[in-house]
Amino acid sequence: MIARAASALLALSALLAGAWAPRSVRPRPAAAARFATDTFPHARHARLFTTCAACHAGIATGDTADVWPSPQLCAGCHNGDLARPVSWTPPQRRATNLTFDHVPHVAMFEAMDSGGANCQKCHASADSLPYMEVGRANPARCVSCHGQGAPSHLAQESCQPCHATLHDAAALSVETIRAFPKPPSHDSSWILHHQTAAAGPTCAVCHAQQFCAACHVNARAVQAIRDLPADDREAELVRTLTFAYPRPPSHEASDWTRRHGVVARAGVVECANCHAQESCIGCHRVQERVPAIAALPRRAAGGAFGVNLAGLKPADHLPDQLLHHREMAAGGTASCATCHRPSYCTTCHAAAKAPAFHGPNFVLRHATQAYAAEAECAACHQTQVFCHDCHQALGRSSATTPVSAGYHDKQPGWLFGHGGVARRAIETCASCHAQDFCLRCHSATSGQHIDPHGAGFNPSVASKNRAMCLICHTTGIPAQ
Amino acid sequence: MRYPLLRIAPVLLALAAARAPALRGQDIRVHGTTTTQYVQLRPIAFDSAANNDTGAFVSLPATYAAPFTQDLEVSAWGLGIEGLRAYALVRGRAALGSGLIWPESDEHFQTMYAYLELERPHYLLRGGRQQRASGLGWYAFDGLTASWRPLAALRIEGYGGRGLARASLDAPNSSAITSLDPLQQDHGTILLGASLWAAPSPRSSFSAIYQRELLSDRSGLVSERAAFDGRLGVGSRVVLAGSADADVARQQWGKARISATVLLGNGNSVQLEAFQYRPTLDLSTIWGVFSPESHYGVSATVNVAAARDVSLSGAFTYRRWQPLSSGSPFLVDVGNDQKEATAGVHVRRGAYTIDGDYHLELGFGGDQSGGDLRAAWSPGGGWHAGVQTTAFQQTDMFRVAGGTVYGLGADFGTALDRRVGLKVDLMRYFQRRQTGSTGLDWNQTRASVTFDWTIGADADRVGSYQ
Repeated sequence: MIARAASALLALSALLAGAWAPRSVRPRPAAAARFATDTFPHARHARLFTTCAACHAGIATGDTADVWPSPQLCAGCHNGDLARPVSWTPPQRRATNLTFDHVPHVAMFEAMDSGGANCQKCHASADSLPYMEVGRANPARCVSCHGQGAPSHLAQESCQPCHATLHDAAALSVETIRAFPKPPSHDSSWILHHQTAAAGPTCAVCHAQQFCAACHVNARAVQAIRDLPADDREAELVRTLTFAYPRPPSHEASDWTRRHGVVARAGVVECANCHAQESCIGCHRVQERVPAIAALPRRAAGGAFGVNLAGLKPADHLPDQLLHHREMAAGGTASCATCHRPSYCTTCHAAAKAPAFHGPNFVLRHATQAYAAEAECAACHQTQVFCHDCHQALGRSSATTPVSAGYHDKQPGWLFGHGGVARRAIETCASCHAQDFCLRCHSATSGQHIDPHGAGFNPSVASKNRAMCLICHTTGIPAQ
Repeated sequence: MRYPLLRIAPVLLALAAARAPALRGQDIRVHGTTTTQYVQLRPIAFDSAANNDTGAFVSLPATYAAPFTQDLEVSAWGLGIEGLRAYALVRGRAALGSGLIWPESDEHFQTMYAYLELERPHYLLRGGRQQRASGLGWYAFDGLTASWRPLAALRIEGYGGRGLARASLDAPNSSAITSLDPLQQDHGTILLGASLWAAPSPRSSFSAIYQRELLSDRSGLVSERAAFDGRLGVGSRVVLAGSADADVARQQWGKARISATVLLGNGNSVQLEAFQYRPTLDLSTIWGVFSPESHYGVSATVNVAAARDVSLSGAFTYRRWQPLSSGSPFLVDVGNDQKEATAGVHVRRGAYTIDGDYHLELGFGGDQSGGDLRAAWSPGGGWHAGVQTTAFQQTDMFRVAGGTVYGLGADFGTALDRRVGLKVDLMRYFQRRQTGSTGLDWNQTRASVTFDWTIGADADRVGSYQ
C-alpha cells in the first residue's frame, strides 16, 4: 500500500514537474526532428530520473541485461491510475556493422570528469542542451572526434575501427546494405579516381568483391579487388543495380578513336578495368590480329559486361555502303580487315544464298540490271560457272536452238541487229552463249566470215595472247 | 582432285591447332553456317510447233532446286610463334533431291580460304589459298602474299601464285568451266600482283594495284590490269572518292567513278556521282575482240533523317550509251539511255521496323517497276519476325516476256543460344500475266533455312558473327 502510494506520488510529481517545466527545456522542433528515431520522450522524464543509469545501468557495466529498463519499471507509474498505461518492451538489438563499445567510452568520459552528463556527449546534439534532451547517438558527434581529418588525436583514417567489414557484419540484410549512406567523397567524379582510395581497407566496410566485379572485367587480376571478401548479399544487390561506365577525360579527345591503338599497344592494364575483348570486337572483329585485344580479359558469365561498343560504325559507312564500298575495299587487308574477317565478305561475294541487297526474287528481276550493267556481275560471279550453268539448266542457252529461232523474239531482226547490243552488253551474251556459238558466223576461216572487231579494236593484243587469235585466224594472224 | 593436299589442308590445320599444347594466348574458333534453300524455277524449251509452227520457247512444268551449303570457318592463333594464325573457310555443297541443279551444286567441296598468316607490326606473310578483293574485282589464288608496313598508314604488298578463274574458286582449265565452254583454255594461270595503299588521314586513303595473269606455260597473257582508288576527306563533312581500272593489255580504261559525298549530320547526306562502265574481259576468251563499248552515267543519292525514327532515301541514275554502231535498222526501240530511280523509307519505333522501297527502271535492257514492303519485329536477343510483300512489273526489251508478279512471305529468326542462331524465310510469288505469248510462268515458291553456330573463342558481338 505504501509502495503504491509512493509510486503514485513519484509519478504525480514527475508529471507536475514536466507540465511546469520551463519552455526552454522542451524539445525544440529541430532537435526533435534530429532524434525522430528515438520515440521515448526522455525530456519529459528528466525530473523523474536524475541519472541515465536509473534506466540504463548496463551501459556503463557492459551488462546487456540492464541496458534497457524493464517493462515493470514503466508500469510502476503507467498503471492506468497515475498515468496512462503503456506497452513497451525492450528493443531487439539492431543488426549493425558498428563495433562501438559503450563501456570504454563511459569510462573515458568519467575519467575525464569534464562535467555534465557523460551520455550527453554523444546522445545530445550539443553539449549545451539540458539534461535528458537526448536521443539515439548522433553520428555527427562521433565523426567530430573520429572522422577523417577531425582535430583530435582520436581521428581515424579508416572506417574500420568503428565499423565492421561487410563480411563480418553478417546480420545485415541486403536492404540495409542498399541503404548505406554514400560518403561525401563518392561524388560524381569519384569513379574516375577511386583507384587511389581502393588501396586501403575502408572499401570493405561497405563493399565486397562482387560490387567491384560488376564493372571491372579484370576483377580477378586486380589485387585490391581480390583482397576484398566475397559476399552473396552483395552479389544479390548488384544484380538489381545499373552501372554506367564513365568516359575518362583521355577518351574525350577528338582523335581518341584514331589514337587509342597507340595507347593500347603500350599496355592494356588500364583498359582492362572497363574493356573486355568483346568491347573491342564490336569494331576490331578480327581479334586474333590485334595482340592488345588478345591481352584483354574475356567477358565471363556472371561477370562484368564491359563497355559495350557494339554497333559503332565509321561515320563514312553510309546506308548504301554495301553498294559503294569499292574505294574503301580497294585497300584489301589494309583497312577492311581491321574490322571484318574474310567470311564477312563472302556473305555477299560468295554467298550461300542471294545477299539481301539484291532484293527479293532477283532471279526473275536481274535481266534488266544485267543489260544496263548496274553492277559488274563478273566481279562476283564467274560467267560460265554461275550464269551459263543456270541459264543452260533452265533452257535459256540451249546449244541446239537454231540461230535463226529465237529467244530474242521481241526483236524480229535480232540476228542482223544483235551486234550493237552485244557491244553494249557483251557480258550478257557470255552469260548464255559459249564462245563457239558466236564462231558459227564470226570467224576468219569458217562460218560466215563476219568480222567481229569493232571500231575500238586494238590489234596489238595479238602479241599478248596469240592462241586466242588463232581460234579464228587459224591460217595465221593478219599483220597489224 | 588435282590438289588433294590443299583440300584437306583446313582439316589438318584444325587438327594441328587442336592437338598443339596450349600456349599463352592460344585459341581456336570454329564457325559453321548451314544453309538449305528451296527454289522453284520453270525451265523453258524451244517448241518448233509453237507459234504457228514458227517455233517459240515455252514453259515447262515447275521444277525446283534445293541447294544445301555447309560453310565451316576455322581460325586458330597462338600457335607458338607470335602473330602466327591459321585460317580456313571451306564449303561443302549438295543438291537435295532436286530435279534442277543449282549453280555449283555439283562442286561438293570447295576451299574458299586456307592459309597460314604471320603478322608482325611491320610486315605480314600469308601463304595458302586466299582471295583478294580490290579495284580489279575478286580474285582467288593459291600462293603467297607479302605485305610491308613501314608506317601505320602505308602498306606495300606483293602477291602471286597459281591463279584461279576470276570470281571463282575453280582453275580456269578445270572441268567445271571447260565443260561449259569448249573453247576455254586448257592451261592454268599464274597470278602476280603488287599494290600500294596509303592513308594520309583517317578519312583519306589511296591505293593502286597492278596485276598480271599469265598462262601457266608462259605462252600468253590472260589479263594485265591496274586500278586506282582514292578517298579524300575534305573537312569533316565532305568525302571525295574516285576509282578507275585500266585494261593495260588492251590499253583501255574500264570502269571509272568519281563521287562527292556531303555528310550533313544526323544521318543526312547527299552524294553525287559520275561514272563510266566498260567491262574488262580476259584475253583468253574471244569476248573482248567484239570491242565492247562504254556507257556513261551520273547519279544523285539523298539520305534524309526526317525524324528521329524515320529516314528517307532517294536516288536517280542516268546512263547513256553511244548510238548503236551496227545493225540498228533491225532493232526496235532499243534507245540509247536508261533511267533508274529509287525511293525508300525506313521507320524504326522500338522493336518494330518498317522498310519500304520503290524502284523504277526505264530504258536499255527493259523496263521494270517494283516495290517491296517489309515489317519486322526484333525484340532483341537475336529474335526477329517479319512479313514481306513485293510486287514488280517488267517488260524485257529483247524478248516477249512481260508480266506482273506479286509476292508474299515471312521470315523468322531466333538465337537458340548466344552462339547458335536459326533463320527461316519463305516467299510465294504469284504472276498476273500481261503479255507472255510464249507462256512463261513465274508462279514460284522460295524458301531457305540457315543454321549458324560458333564454338571456341568468343566469336563476336552477340548475334552478328561477321
